[in-house]
Amino acid sequence: MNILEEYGITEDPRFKTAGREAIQIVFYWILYTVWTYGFGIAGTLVQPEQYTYTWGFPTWYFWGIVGSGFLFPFIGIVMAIRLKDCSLDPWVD
Amino acid sequence: MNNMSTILVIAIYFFSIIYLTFVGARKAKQIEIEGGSFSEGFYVAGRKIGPVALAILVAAGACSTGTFIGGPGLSAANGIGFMMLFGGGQIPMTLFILGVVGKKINIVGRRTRSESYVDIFRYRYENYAPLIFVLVIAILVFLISSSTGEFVGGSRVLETVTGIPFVYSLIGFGALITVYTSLGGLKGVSIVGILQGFIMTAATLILVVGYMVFYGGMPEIMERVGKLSSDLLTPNVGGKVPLYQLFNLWCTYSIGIIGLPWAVQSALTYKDTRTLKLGIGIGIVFVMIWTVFLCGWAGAAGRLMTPDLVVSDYAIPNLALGTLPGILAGVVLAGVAGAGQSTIAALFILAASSIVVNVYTAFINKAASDREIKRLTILVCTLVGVTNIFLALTEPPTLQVFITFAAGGCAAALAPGLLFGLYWPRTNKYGAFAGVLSGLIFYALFSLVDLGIPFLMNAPLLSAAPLSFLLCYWVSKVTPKPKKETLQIFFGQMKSDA
Repeated sequence: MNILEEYGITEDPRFKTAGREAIQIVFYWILYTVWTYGFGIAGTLVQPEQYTYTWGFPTWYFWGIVGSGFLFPFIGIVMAIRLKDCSLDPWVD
Repeated sequence: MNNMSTILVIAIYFFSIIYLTFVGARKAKQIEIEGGSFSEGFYVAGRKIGPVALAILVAAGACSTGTFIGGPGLSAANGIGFMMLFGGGQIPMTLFILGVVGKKINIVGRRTRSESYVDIFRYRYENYAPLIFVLVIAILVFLISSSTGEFVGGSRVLETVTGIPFVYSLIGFGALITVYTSLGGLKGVSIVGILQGFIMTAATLILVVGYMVFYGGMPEIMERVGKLSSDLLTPNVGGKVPLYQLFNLWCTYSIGIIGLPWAVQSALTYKDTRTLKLGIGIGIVFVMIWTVFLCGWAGAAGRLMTPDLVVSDYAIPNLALGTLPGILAGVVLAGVAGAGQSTIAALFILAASSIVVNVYTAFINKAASDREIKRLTILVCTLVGVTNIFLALTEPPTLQVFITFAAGGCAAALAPGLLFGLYWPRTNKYGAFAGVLSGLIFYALFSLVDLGIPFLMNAPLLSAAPLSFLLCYWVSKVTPKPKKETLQIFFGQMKSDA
């Protein structure tokens, strides 16, 4: 934070935490994307006539939706609960 | 006529909405009387919203007829796998919107008494007029696009249920929304919005039971769908749609949602971090239910109900009418139309606040009275509503084209200024201006004009966003630093006498 040092500004620790949490969420999105598109790409590598099925769905879709529809949303809820509480008070005095 | 009970339910629903909105409007007046300003009461509900209201404000504001009609329609047309890769990433949207920028916006919003998305840009970028100008234009362009999509969806529902031709359904629906919004304000809208959030969820659950019972469960549905066409079982319509195009849409509707002003703005309204965290969690649950069971699976059932689907928007209305008794179909379709209403209301409020508060009282008439503000608000809402009706008359193949254009455009034009502004102190007003302007121009250009490079038109967000982010960065670096006072507010610890 060079420019903040230059100006002699002390960074609000709540903002630092918010920034870290933002990066964690971006990583979460990357994993989410890799899972979903991983199985999506798998679905293009085989002809539909040769698809196998799990619980009635094409297998590639089944595993895709397990992640994108259930697992990752659940992880998202956990991440939300674990965000750090802080005061929203604009001032520190 | 079989649809009479359906029509009755929808009519009762619409009138309840109007009644509740006036209740909400009276409550907003309470805030005025208790000392808050009209605009603080109208626009940010006095900053006291609780977790359920927050969840629905964000989720129902961003999810709408896209999730309830457009998306399922595309799922019916192209397959549930296609839909998963298209919009599946929207499920954690409350985490993306509120988790990435929510805390900071709320705290800074209290420091600056910001009441809108534009306010945040104003304070961060020293009220730089050219920036505010292009920002408001960009917001209006994409907001109008988004609300047009909603208008198309709501009208197609009414058309299917009542048989009233699209044009008249459109005008009736449009007039109702405009009146309800300009008179109710955010507090009125959020009371109604909470009701609509629950109805949307109830609608989803009822429809799910309806099509599961009617068709005998998802395995049976998928088997029959596969027999209709094997393309419907694939991720990419049997190879007809390039994966990078789908990926562009995935990005638009997942991480790209951070760009949506009408969703991000809700970060100004909650009262504490407990509300924030609960709101995110509740929002994820709601959106998950809507996305998996309605946006995805209902589409497959919808295709069975209308195998030779031409305009995909009709899939869900037909499905509801075909699988459910009249009253339940009415509840479902009221919920679906309600999804559009809550989003349109949020959009109109943003249009009003952008122009009224950020252009009019900021640059034109600083001493405008509360009554003048109120009247200008109603004027803006009316003008936007009329524009939407005209655009909707083009009767697009799917309402989703309007929604996608808006979501992608907002991400390309607004995300750089917002994200860099909040997390990179060196960002300055010139960089933000470059970001918004270039994002708007490139995204619109790539989306609407065939430049002979398929990638640009098929993946406008992936093409335009890198350019706008880069320009925001470079221009910031080569132009003067932002002021110390600004960075103190947005990055530093502050005492109240600072």
